[in-house]
Amino acid sequence: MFLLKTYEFYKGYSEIQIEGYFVERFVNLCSLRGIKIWDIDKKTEGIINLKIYEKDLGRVDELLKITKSQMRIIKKVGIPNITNLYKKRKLFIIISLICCAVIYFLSLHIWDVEVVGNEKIPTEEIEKILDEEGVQVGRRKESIDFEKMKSNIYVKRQDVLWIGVKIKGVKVTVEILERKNADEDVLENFPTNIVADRDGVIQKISVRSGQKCVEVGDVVCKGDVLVSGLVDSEHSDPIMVNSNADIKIKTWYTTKKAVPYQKTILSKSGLVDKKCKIKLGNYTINLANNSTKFEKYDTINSVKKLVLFGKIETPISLDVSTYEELITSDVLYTPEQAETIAKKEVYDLVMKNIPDGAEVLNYDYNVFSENDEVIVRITAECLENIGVEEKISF
Amino acid sequence: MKKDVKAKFQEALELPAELLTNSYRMTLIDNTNVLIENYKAIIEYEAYVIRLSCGLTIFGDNLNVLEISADEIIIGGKIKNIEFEN
Repeated sequence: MFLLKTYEFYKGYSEIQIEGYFVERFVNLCSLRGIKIWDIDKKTEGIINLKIYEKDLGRVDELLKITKSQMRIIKKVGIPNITNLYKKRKLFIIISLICCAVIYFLSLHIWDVEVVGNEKIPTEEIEKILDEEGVQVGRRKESIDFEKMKSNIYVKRQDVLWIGVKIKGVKVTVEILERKNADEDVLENFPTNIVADRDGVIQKISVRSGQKCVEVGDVVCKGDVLVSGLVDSEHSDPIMVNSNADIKIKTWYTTKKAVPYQKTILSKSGLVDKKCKIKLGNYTINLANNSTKFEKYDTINSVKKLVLFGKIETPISLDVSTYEELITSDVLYTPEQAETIAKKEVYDLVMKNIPDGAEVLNYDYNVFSENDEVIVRITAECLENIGVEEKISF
Repeated sequence: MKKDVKAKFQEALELPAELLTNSYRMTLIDNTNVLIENYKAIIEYEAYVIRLSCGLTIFGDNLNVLEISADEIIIGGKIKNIEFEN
């Protein structure tokens, strides 16, 4: 049934209404003359609706004369009718065909090359090699011999183990697997010392392999050897091992900060002024007066570039300048207020200095007052892991 | 005499009955569709009755002709009654 309907649509048909005294005769004559009609429906006395192929519409006139009836076209359906409708709009058809052709033509080319999977080889380097081998933006997909390209790269680059090429639409994804050097994850196989990487006092030391060089309570400086990989032996020459130890040291971090009692604060008033301009290469088109009425302000510039296919940059860009008005106000702190502010600021500062993984044991504030400001010094005591492995060199 | 020859010929070759004689063949699907081959012509067509010149009269509700050609007609709708004429 669906196929039949499709065929009817393809051929084009009309729904017509016949009005007359002898509609049965009309139907009989149609069937006798081989005019195909279907879906005949009798609405009221003397009126029938039926469907007829577009090409048979001309032959009906004669039958209408014989049966003395009248015809009215209700609806025209099908492809021939649609094409008739667009016959007047030639330019529209031509341009849409050109569009299709252009899209088809463009889809035959590569518009994006992506390199994935490389860790050590820089992407630019791979892109340069691909460029030399002919994998370029704008090349026809069929004109590139990917197998040849692959083998050429294998010959050129010893550090490339495998190349995979995936073409999805206009995008080529080149997957790279790098050859790993055997002597790289090395440190475990070599004799090493453990060396301090910052200053502090040893709090705890437990050695799994190697010879301990420092004791709990010792002060160490950056670069001191904490655990030696050279282990003395009573029976033979010193043997060399890969040192392994957990060492914890105590460190102190101090920072100070002065807060004056009188302070000028800049704050945002909340008023915002936006100005747009369009840039075409070196030309700038201002969409509005570019100056702002604010006396003091922050300027935030954002540039939006028009990018085609997510890759091709065009010289057209939209610059948006946002001006945020600032107002100044003088604030007078009491000594207590200044101290609280200074303490908070100094705490934030010292927390920034303390490395990750360190445990803060306690901290301690020292407050000094000078003529017009308060100075707060913080000392934070931390417990942290220390020690980096270092190859023993001869 | 002529009819006899046709009937004998048909019997001898075991041909379908409607092929040589002037008879019609009716295929009924439920009470919604009826296909009549060799119907000849429509005499009367209303929404409640379709009279065919082969001698069949079909009564029903909302009868409509789904398809028509020189030899066959498909009638759809709610068929209630079929009358035969001799």
